[in-house]
Amino acid sequence: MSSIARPPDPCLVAIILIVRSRTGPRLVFHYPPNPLSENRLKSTTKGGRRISRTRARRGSKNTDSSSSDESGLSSDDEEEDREREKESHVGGSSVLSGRRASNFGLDEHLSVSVSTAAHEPHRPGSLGSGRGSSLRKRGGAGSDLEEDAGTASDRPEDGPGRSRPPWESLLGVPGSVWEKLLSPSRSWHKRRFEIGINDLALIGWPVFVREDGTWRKQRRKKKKKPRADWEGGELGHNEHGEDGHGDERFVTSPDLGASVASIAESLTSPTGSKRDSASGKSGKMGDGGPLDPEDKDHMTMFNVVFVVDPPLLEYSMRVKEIYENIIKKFAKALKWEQARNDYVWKESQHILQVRRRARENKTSTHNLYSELISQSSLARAMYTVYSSISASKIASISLSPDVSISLQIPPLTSTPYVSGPADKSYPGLWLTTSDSATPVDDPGADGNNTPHQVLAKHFALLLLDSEAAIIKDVEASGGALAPALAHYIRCSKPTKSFAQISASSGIPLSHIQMLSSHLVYWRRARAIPPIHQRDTYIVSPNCDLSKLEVATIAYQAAFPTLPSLPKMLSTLSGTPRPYSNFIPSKDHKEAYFNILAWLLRGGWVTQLRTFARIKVTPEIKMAVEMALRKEEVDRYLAKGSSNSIPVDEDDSDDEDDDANSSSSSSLASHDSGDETPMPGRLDPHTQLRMSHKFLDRSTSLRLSSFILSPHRASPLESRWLDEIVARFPDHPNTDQDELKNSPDNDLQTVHKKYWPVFLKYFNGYDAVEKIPVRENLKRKLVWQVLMRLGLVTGPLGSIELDAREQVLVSFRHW
Amino acid sequence: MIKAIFYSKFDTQEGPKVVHQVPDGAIVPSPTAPAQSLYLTFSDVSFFVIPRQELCGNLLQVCTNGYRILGYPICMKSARYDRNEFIFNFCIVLAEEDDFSTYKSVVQKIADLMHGLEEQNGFLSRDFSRSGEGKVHSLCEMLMEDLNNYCECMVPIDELNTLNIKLFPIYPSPPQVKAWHVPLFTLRYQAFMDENWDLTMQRIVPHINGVNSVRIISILADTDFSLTCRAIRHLLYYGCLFLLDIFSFAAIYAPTAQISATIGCDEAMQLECARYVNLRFAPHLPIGPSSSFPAPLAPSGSSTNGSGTGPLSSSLTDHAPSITRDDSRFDAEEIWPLLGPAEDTDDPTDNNNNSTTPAPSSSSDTSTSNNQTNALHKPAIVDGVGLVELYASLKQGQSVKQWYAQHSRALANIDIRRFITFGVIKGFLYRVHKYACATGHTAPAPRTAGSPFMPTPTHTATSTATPVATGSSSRVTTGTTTPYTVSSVGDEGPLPGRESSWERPGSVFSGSRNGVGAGNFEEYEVEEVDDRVLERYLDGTHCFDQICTELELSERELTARLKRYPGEVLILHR
Repeated sequence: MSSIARPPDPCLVAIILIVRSRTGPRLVFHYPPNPLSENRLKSTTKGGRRISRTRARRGSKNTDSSSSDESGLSSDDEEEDREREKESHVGGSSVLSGRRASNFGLDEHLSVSVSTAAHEPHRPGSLGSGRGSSLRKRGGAGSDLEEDAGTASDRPEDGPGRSRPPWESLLGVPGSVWEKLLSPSRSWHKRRFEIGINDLALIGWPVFVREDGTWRKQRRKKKKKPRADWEGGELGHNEHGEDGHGDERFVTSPDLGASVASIAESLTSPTGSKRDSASGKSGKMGDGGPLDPEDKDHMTMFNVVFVVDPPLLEYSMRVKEIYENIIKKFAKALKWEQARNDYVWKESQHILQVRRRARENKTSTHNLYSELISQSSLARAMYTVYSSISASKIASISLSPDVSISLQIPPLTSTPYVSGPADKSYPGLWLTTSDSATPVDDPGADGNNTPHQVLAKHFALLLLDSEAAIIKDVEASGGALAPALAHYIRCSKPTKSFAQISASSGIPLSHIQMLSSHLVYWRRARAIPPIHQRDTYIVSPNCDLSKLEVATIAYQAAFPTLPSLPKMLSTLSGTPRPYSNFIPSKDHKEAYFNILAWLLRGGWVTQLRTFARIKVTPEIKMAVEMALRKEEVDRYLAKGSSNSIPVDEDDSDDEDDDANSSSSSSLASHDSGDETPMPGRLDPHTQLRMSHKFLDRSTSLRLSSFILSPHRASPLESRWLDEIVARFPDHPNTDQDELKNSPDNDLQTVHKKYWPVFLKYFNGYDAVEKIPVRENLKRKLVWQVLMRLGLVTGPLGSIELDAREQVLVSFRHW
Repeated sequence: MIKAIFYSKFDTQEGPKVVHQVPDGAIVPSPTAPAQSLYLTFSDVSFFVIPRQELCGNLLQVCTNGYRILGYPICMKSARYDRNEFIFNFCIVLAEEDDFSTYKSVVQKIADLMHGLEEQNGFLSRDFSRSGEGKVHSLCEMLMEDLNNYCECMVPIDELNTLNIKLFPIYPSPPQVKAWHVPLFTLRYQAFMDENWDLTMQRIVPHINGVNSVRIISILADTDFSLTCRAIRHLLYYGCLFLLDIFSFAAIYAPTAQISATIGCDEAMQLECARYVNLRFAPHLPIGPSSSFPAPLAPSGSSTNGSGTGPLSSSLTDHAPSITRDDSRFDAEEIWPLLGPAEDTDDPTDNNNNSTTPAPSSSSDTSTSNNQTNALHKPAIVDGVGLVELYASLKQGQSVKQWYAQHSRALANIDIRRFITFGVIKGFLYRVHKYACATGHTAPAPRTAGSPFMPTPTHTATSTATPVATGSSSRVTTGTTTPYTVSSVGDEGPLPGRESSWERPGSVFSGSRNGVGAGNFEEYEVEEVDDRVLERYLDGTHCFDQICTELELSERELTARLKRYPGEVLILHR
């Protein structure tokens, strides 16, 4: 629900297509027709910022309307007129600029030109460091040309005598200026082309025709290995016609492409041959198109430029996001199609033709655009990209009947941070640390922190929509993956890990991981630790209570006979208890799991997990210290007595080295542990640091400490750990009957057996909830051992605790 | 870091042309510096350096070859120029990945200044000096050198004009300040405040102590509430403040995911914590510990501390907490708070071990007892691990009061409020806020009829609250253990007749809400909050802090009032 699309702010303002041919660059198409004007307001939900920006724009329109009219002109005569007109302007503005040089006038001037906008001038250091309006006249007096870029370009439409139709200019600047600005030199071929105008960034990925007049490197076709060509193709996605994966959702990102292809192939054998013939066909067309010998004008470059207005402080992040995920992929797809059948050039000519006709017929902008979008697949594609991406949705576009791609900026799916009053927050976002790779994670599958990676096998799949709805979409798509996906979705349960599903359904684990990461990437599912009734769930500190009312109604529809959403949240609000405590009876189990899945999906609850560290008490340290000293003394004595025997000396020397290194490293670890802390953070307390420097060993021995990474313990820490284990009670207590059911009813064997297994989880970063799943142990057994070790999360039952065993300190969070 | 600065103009014969460049040969080949390799190809970017007239007067930037060029082309029209126009541009070249936001204003300012100079006396158009010589070139040179080395420059140009530039870092805009937020200084305001400050600021600053909520500050300082919020936002912007929540013993705190990575493994932070919370050092100036929020979440505080260019940075770095005065005689071990006398703790611990939830206390007690046994000659202390255990034992659904009861011995010499505050500031604790949600159903349990006797207007200045005696806040438990909290409440208590209607409205909000066990509650006349007023807060989006602050109730009163609300009210903890 709420957390599905909590994506980054795309900041998309417009998309422009520029092509260059022998006759020069042409601005072929841009969408929306009037960027940053009123129509933008409707399409966006981000109230405050956009509104203020639009207001600023309106304000400047009012004050500068006369000059904005002029921006529409560009015939030579009129240009001269305008220049003369400008001369008069200069007088006024030069006064201003003179004043401004003496450091006064800037803000004053701004407040004039943007008078109606309640908008602080964009100056660094001021409180209003939000974004200013984009093409706003910066300081106004900088140029004598008072073109106001922000003014909506529909103005000239009002005047009857205009030679240029409204769509010929963009952001208040005539198309010819854009044409020149946005058709760069060849040095930008297939590189990021980024320019900025005030607060707007214009980013593209220009593609130039090759020297030989083709759009693609001619490859030697190896018929026997068609996929090599396909895989290595610059177009990374698997949907260029050959596969017939029509639907948007089942078109994967480039990174997934290969694996999808291979799995699709293994699942549906005919695909291979189909692709074979298809790629042959595409190759032929690629050869045919550009080499057309007719002497018509040829396109030499095209550049799809995305106009974005990122906030200043997020500039590079936003630009990178949209460039990597959208711009590059979209341009690559166009390049592929251009190489295949001259797509971009044909479409461009078509669009230009329609525009020419529209100009003759004085068609309105609105009609022109609806005509273009219905007639040209390229215009439609740009329209779709704009409207979907600016709404943070997945853009599914089809360039031709058999070529379609899906683009998205992958949304944020979870966060480990709960936001304070001073932080930017994304309420409703899933609050967890469970998606980050952690040291204990299997080396093969290192977490799922990026969707392209293989999901760890101990995660489960939580569908973000109803199973039926997703299966319907899958089947409607009819792609090669559809049957496999549908089958998997039917088998999948949020209570079962991938490994378990694989075992029960017979689908190979690697396929499951691939299919689920596919669903996760395309926002249909989320990978979570499997839901379990013994696990504890709390109301997420990050849940979005402003959605409570709406969600309550949706919840009511889903679970009409069960406790309401507020009731459920209120129940989960108290002291954390295992979820099973809230399930009234066995018959309700299924329903309550469904509720839990629903709550997790909406980010209403999150799992409270337990993390543990081993505490070393001074007692242990002292005992180890004593033992070390004794060894040292013994060695010294042994050395003294065996001086005459060379063979022994060698041995003892070796020993000595070992011992020395261990004891010296123990010293070092003392020092580093107790002395490094100060720099930076505690600078003022230099005095104290001084006194701390003289901290002797015995002092640190009197303080307890943690073993931070037990699986990489230093020699001294290992000694401590040994000492800890040695102190575990030898004789099983009276509570032996507690463990009667388990195979190991001898306490000592329990410890002996599981301590080394569990040890690596006690690093403070791996939830102990993972242990039963990963080590494939009985949950009850694991928790009994953990409780004995000092991990207490709930009622103890009758287990009697022994202080010697209480070596863990536990933290509970998400 | 500026990589290069160049001055370019449109030459009527040669077209776009680089006149001066620093360093020499960076943009176009130079006979005087043949060894210098070009940063970029000028012809690739000339379309943008000297653009069409329509784009002049805008801040332009372009990326090429790993560099980002910022420019502000100016087009001047006058009969005195060839072709009646003069187009020039002073460009700054930065590394593409560097943050360029601070340089935008620099480029703009240079352009404005040059525009003026050119207008006054043709400063640029009459500069016929060769490349690498002359006033304009040396100006570029000084500009680059000074900005790179000192982040500011003052270049005299002639007797009338001077180029003054300073680089200001840009911070994100601060969050909205709410009435129930509690600001806490990260530095000593005395160090940088002077009499030229804004009047509101001067008045509110002494009342910012990590205890008073914004509402109370505005009352105590007798300042307009919205102005108070703005002043506090201003301080927030520069990272001088943290925003905390209202501390009370009824509040619930729990660890966040950051606890393992911060105090859970950072012994320096444990020391810092001990120093901050140990009653032995109880200072009289509440100074927040330094921030170590995770980077994306702590925009202001840490960045201000880090950068040397912030206007306040000098004062930020050299603030000295008051404890330094007797540092010299500290043994390193004395930094750790002492355990309370053993007798105190026996009861709760024993109870716990017998009851069903002995959890956190038992573990910490073992540690403390170990301490005792090992260091018999030394007094028992709460060491770093002990502090961590105390933090880890805070949990959802358990109020500070309950937690205190379980750990009273370990907390005997710890300032509870500071202990909690430290965790919140460092980001490893969070406040579990309570929200009330009226379901619209009838309440399940029978209640007292409780019709509001005196419906009161809400937004008028009159207080609808019941002032609770400050004495109630010094409960048995807090009286001895948290003198700081109590004393500060006591200090702020007597308000010399500022609010006429009720005795001491100020104490209601933060201070006396400690007083969960207010015994003399009934002595005061109770005015009920109207149901309709209350209803607006019961949609689950208003936390108790907000409701209490805005309706001027204590949490206890609010809870009692909610019980009398007609209809079921659910409490959510989030």
